[in-house]
Amino acid sequence: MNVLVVHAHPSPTSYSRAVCDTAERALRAAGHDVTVLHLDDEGFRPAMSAAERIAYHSDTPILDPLVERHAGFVRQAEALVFVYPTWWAGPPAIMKGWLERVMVPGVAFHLDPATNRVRPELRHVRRLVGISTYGSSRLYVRVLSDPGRRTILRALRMLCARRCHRTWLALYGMDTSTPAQREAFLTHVERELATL
Amino acid sequence: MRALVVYAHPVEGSFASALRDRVVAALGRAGHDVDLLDLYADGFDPHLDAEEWSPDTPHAEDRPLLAAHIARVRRAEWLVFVYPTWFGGVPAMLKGWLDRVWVEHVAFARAPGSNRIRARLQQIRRVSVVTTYGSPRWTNMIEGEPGKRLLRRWLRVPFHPLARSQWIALYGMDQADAATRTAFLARVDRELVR
Repeated sequence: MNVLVVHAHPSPTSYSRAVCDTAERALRAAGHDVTVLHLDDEGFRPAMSAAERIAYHSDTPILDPLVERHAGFVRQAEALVFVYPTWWAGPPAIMKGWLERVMVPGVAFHLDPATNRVRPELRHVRRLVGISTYGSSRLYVRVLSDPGRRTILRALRMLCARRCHRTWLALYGMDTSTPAQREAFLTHVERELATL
Repeated sequence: MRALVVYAHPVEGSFASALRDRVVAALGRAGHDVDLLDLYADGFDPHLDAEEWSPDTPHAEDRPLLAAHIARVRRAEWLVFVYPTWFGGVPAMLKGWLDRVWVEHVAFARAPGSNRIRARLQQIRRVSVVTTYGSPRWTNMIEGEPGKRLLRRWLRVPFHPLARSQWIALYGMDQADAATRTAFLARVDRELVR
């Protein structure tokens, strides 16, 4: 399967990076064709610019060559995997901005000319995976809800294949976790992605 | 009340900028002390980078740019967010402002060895959101309203326990005609300072 992994964390020595590397290794070992985008390393600009906002509903909404390159990967992908630390209930700004700037009309959806309603264009994406770490406990996240998870598994999912399969892997209470728990989560990620 | 209006849209002349102007005018007319924070106009960088992430870097409160933002948040009693809902939630520009400014010891604190976050912005007694959605309400119900849940549930944690929260939203902007947009501007005038 053609798999695109999108990762956001500023530090190359972070636990989040280790999670992403584990996921990448498991996917490659399973024989998938894997592309990994470390958004921070790529110097991806999070905020949509004024020129991009003005071009958004035109025939050429993409103005940045880096965004064009990423959009090319998205068009090829049969599986999308997102790896990020949950900050303020969702992905870091750089990943939120990636969704805003790459998942534009002509890549992720188009607006029906008659009704101006969203029509999906990610029908080739059959698998959607989110992997995240949380400072808060599982119970706290359940009570206050998980906007990041909803963004990936519900909002983005609406643009994917009709029978797109979804998976969410989470490590809660990150700041009070033990090395053994973090190690166990890496094993969990490896096992889950080996059978994507 | 001391109101901090946090606005995020890149294009001057957009409908969002009209909403911003309405909000500022309505608050001023009602006698509130208004502080407008225009993230795009100020050139705010929403990216929390490796240096800032590093434990060796001074805390946000000791860094001039972030300290100025923190001071404005601490001074506020009423927060008003004005932004377009993109991909179900707040624009990356606004998300990055929360990532960088609303950090530990500013917005919340934790006891050693605990994950529970405790309120540190209890002077905030009111929060209002004025936003627009391209898609209709039912689409956003299916998507699960991540932006609304971030602002109404998570962001509420640092505030005063009895803080009032207000949601003023226009759904279906992509299908809306001029009359609908004008009516929404009037609704903002009517509801915000009520």
